[in-house]
Order: sequence, then structure tokens, then C-alpha cells
Amino acid sequence: MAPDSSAADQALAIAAQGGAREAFGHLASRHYRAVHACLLTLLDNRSDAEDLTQETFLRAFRKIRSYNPRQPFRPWIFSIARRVAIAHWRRRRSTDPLDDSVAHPPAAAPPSGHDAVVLWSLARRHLKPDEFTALWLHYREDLPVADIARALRKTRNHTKVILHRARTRLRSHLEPEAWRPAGLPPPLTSPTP
Amino acid sequence: MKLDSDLPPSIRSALRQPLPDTTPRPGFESRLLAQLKDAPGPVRRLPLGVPALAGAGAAVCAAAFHLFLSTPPPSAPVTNHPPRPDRPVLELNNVTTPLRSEAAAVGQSASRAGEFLLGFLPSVPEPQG
Repeated sequence: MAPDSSAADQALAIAAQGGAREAFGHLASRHYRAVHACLLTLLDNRSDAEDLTQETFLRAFRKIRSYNPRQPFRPWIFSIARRVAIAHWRRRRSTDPLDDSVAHPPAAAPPSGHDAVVLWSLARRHLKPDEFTALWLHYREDLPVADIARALRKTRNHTKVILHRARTRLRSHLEPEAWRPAGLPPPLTSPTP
Repeated sequence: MKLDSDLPPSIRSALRQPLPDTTPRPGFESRLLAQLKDAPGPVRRLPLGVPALAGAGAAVCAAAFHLFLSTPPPSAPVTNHPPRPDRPVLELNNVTTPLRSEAAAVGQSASRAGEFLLGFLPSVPEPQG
């Protein structure tokens, strides 16, 4: 995020901490699309994504005094969104035990292409929530590792490990042709007897 | 650790491509802002000193209550007198033993403690009619 944006977030957050609801409304207007896009891609359910986005900003509003304005706002709001999403999963698991799609997502269909939709669909199905969030914040939000670590509430080294696992797991579910370096011939296959 | 070396450039760039239709439905922003407007405000921290005073007050109350409970009531002295006919007795091997008079004392203390606690409850208005 640009430094100007961070400075604006900082000013708005300080005003919100002083009790200015309009300032928090401006903060929400600046960030809700990013939070909603992440939650929608993660949950694949528009109503749930909107509900959880609202819940995220309501929680953020109640906890705005615990936010440190010297830190960027986006990792902080994503840390709340992550916790809201995890709580949502746990609720669904406890109230809907027959819904196997939560605990055991359906096997992914072989990806037909490698556009963003297919890749993020694979990520949703095969990555753990922290891995998905780390990958999202890295590739979609362009956050540095330090900020991703803040969002995940992990150390930087742990965050690097999570990112590495996320990429490795995602790659393992891609067609081999998708990640073979260009120019290399396809691997030899032994003829079946 | 080289962060991006696990994925080829084509996949990395595909992960950054715009996703279609990730914007919320129309009216979402206005609903969100309306909710924030009506939401209860941030929890204010108590000023310094208030928690300490409250803690001290609670400690004084607890100590007084403990003292109150540990004081034996004068109406139920512990005696070795034979039991009265109307008092429950325990008969073992032809020896009649009164059920411990301390139990009665504890019961009375509990009753008094309940009355003591009830004094702190707000009065409930009698139902009309």
C-alpha cells in the first residue's frame, strides 16, 4: 500500500480511536472491498462473505483502541478477518456435522487452465486457512512478510514457512505442465506391460 | 529463503490476475456503514486507580463475609447434652448419638449468609393487582 494511503489510514485510525465514528466509516470504506474479496474467495459463498466482512469491521470498531496506528492498518484488519473466518468454520463444523464440504472439501476437478480463478479455487480446497491467507496477502495484497506475519500473528520465520508450504501444496495440485520450466521436454513414462 | 522460487513465473503472475466478481453486492457498503453507525462504541478502559479501588473493596467485603460465616451463632451452641426427643438421632450399636449439632449451626449460618446476601440485591417491586 502506498505511503500516502498508510498516512491516511493512520490519521483516520487516530480519529476513530478518539471517538469519531465517521473516521472509522472512512477506514471501512477504504478496506472493506479487500477484506470481502479475500473472504469470498476463501469461503466461496457470497452471503457468508458479506456477513463475515460486516463482522470483521464491527469487531475492528469495538477494538479500535487496541490498534497501534504506527503499524499499517491492512494487516490488522486482515488479522481480525482471519479470526472471524476461523470462528465461522468452527461454528459450521459444530452445528452442521453432516456437511462434509467443510471438513473434507470435495476433490478438486483437474484444473483446465491456470487463470486466477482456477488457482485460487485450488488454494481454497487444498490449503489450510493460514496458508491461504498468507498466499492471498502476498500475491493479492502485495504485503511484505512482516505485515503478513502481523496478520497471521506469527513470527516472520514461521510466516515464511507457511508461505513455502502453501506454494508447495498448491504446486502439487497443479498439472505438471503448469510448473515445468519452459523448454524442458515432458518426463519419460515407462510403457505399461 | 527465496520466497517466490517455489512457483514458476506463469503461476505467480496468474495468482495476481484480477478475479472477476469479487465486489460485494449493491447496497453492502451502505448497510455496513449503517451498522457501524448504530454499533456500540469501543470499550473504554477504566481510568487508573479504579480497578485497584474496586479490588480493595471486594477484598474487604470478602474478609467481612468470611468473618461473618466463621462466627458461631449464639443460638446453636455445641453441647454434649442428651438429644431432645424431637431431634434426629443416629443409633449405632445401641448408642444413641445426636446428629452433629454443628450441622445445625452451619445450616443457620448459611441461612444468615443468604439473608446477608439478599440485602445487596436490588428490591423488586411487588406485582400490581
